[in-house]
Amino acid sequence: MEELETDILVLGSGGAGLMAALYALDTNPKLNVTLATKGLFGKSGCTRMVQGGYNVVLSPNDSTERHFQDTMLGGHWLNNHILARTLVEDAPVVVHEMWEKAGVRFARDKDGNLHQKGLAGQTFDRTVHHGDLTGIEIVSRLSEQVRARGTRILEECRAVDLLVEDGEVFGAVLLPARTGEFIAVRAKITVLATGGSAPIFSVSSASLEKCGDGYALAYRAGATLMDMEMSQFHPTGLVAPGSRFNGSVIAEELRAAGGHLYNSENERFMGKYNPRFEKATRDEVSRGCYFEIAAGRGTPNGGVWLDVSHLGAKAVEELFPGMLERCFLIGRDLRKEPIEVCPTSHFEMGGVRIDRDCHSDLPGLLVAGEDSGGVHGANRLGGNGVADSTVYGRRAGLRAANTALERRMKKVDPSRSISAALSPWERTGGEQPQALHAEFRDVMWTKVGVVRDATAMSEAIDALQALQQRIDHVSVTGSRAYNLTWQSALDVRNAVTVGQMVAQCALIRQESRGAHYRSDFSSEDPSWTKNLTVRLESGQMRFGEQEVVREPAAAR
Amino acid sequence: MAHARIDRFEAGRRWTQDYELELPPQSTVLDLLFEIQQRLDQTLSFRYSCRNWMCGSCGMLVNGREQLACRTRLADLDAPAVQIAPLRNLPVVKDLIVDLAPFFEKWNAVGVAFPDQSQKPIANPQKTQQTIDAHSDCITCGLCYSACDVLSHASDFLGPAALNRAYTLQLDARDVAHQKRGATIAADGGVFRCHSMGQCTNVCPKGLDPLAAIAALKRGA
Ligand SMILES: Cc1cc2nc3c(=O)[nH]c(=O)nc-3n(C[C@H](O)[C@H](O)[C@H](O)COP(=O)(O)OP(=O)(O)OC[C@H]3O[C@@H](n4cnc5c(N)ncnc54)[C@H](O)[C@@H]3O)c2cc1C
Ligand code: SF4
Ligand code: FES
Repeated sequence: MEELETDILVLGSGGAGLMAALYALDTNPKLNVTLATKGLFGKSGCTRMVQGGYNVVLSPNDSTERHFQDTMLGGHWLNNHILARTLVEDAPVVVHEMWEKAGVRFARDKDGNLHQKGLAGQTFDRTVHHGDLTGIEIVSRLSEQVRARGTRILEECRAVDLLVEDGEVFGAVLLPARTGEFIAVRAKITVLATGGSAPIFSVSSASLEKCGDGYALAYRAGATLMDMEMSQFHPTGLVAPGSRFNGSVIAEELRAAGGHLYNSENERFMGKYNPRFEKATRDEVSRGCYFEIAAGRGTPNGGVWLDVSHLGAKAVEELFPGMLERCFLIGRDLRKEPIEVCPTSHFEMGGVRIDRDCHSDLPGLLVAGEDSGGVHGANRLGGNGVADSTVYGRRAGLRAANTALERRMKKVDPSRSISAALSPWERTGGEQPQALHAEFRDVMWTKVGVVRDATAMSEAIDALQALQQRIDHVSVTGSRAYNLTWQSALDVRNAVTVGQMVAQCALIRQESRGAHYRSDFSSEDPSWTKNLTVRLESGQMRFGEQEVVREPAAAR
Repeated sequence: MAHARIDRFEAGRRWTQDYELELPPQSTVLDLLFEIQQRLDQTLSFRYSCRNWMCGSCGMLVNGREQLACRTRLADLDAPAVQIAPLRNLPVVKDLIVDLAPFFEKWNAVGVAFPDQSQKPIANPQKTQQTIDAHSDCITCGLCYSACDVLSHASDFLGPAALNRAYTLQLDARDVAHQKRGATIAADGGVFRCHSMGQCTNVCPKGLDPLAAIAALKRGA
């Protein structure tokens, strides 16, 4: 088995991973930085898919206090106040630095100032963007910079487990897809930036390699996670039955620009649920759609209709060229006809508990971006996600650079992780991992999805328990190199762990708040203004509660 | 019933394999590959990530033409069988997966260089910025690299994508490596190798025009 040593090991090449690598190197160019990523470098993950844009306070008429209030209100006051404050205060610096340091181009208005638009839940138009390809621009430019600095890049190389001894992290076991031969990487500091777990639900907008690896790795290493019940659904995922295209996001801007939602009875139904109709927040619109579908007023393929044709063909062409093209692929013409949409799993607010410098509970492990929890509370505002990953990615990079040399290196035996990962090869005729994975995602979607209740979630928890056992019986064949089935066997193991955290926490939280909606406890309960935590203790998943972290009175 | 012929490659062995399967009408080439891999043949390998033509991971030859698998509907192919092969001009690693390293080495060779001038923001004149924008949003899918005839016999040619990127950087007032890059562009593997066949522009899934970028560089280089 190959072994490597590095000062800093960054896992993931989305906004968080790239910023961490870049800022670590720029803070101390002598450091040895290794970045490993499951997909291709700079081509994988969700930051790449960001369309809407990036929330940042730039105008003198706006203020970070206002951005903070919007973020807290969006998160139903479950956010860690210090993390939310740091997000809004660092974002202007980061946007400026991205422009100067990496050449990221954001759209400008005719006076040459950065153009800012509004997204739902904001009291000021503060979203900077690059048309509807903001993520491609950010990730492409940041990747160029990381590559140009000579970082050691291990692409298509997933982290299988963190290397832990006595509660400290000393690197990770990696599995390069190309060879199928493990690498043990010893690192003084490991930065976890592998993104979220949206595809634990069968309908999802995220990139296809995602499955919650980071949460599962951190959990197995003994870190504390929080808010895992807070799964966000985007209300308008494209319905494309049987296709991998299913669940792709149809941008929020279609509703913002005046798009209407209809049920199968041709009724513009959102008015029943919210006086703001289609302009209500993501969670509200998602539930509206869900209730219509559940009541049997859905489209033939189990969605609702989204119509923008009344805006006129010319406006649709000008405003939504990308979405027009996206709909053509499923044979629909957005200019002339409604399209079928349904809620799609989009983002996980929960994650590893961190402080404002990205420290987890485990020395040696920093966590940034969607892998971490606390920034967004019970609901994330559109535009705050990529701000989170770049702001905290940068913080993780700075922190890692400043502390890496103080930490020691340690050789931890990777053999347990490796034999667990190899176990599907020891059997023949076992279950097919991909089929199991699909079954798992259906359980999550139908029983722990947009609308939850105790009965369905208890069923889900039993089903997940059974799936957990079946994972021990999957088998794979062929060669180890680029073996998609084997990769899926490793995915489903992590995904079920994450599914269990989500389902259990959702069952414990007996109220509705933000993205978490319980039909059996349908209102928000002030006594639940606290976070649920989860960690591995003596081989068991243990749940706890904690007070929401507030700012010290003196600081404000 | 869909009929697929797929070029296979593993450990030095090359062969073609046929598959037949039922698929829903909206299926894309990416769906076809997933279905084959999950239902018929676990050993088949291919790449993907976003399934929304944003990441550029799924480039391949479909019926002889460079395409993104996630963006290509079987129904639009208008052929009795779909033939799938890896991109050209790049080493094949396994089945439909190619090694993009040469592509990115060249991308790197045209050098990105932004000074850290946090105190002094510079903006490009609007007209320049419009030209830059028109040549931006490359998803580094490598389709143009595969379609380039020059690259098939002169592997040191920088190729359309890197030169297109070079053009945007040469125009950008914020960048500080114009002179050095100018030399790279004019050197042996640079713009003057290009025969202006325009295949790059024909296949680009983002509607970019690397041919025009190369022409502009030739005039200014
Ligand atoms: C379709 C879509 C649109 C969105 N639009 C917006 C928007 O407009 N504005 C906004 O603010 N937010 C948006 N978001 C949310 C935003 O994308 C995320 O908040 C943010 O990008 C997460 O960044 P990240 O760096 O944490 O993770 P990602 O960008 O997802 O990157 C994760 C990286 O980790 C790698 N990885 C995964 N597992 C492993 C492993 N085991 N080992 C090693 N590497 C691994 C992946 O391959 C990838 O490179 C959108 C999300 C989606 C899905
Ligand atoms: S220029 Fe077009 S075809 Fe070439 S790599 Fe970029 S997006 Fe792909
Ligand atoms: S999967 Fe990303 S471009 Fe096709």
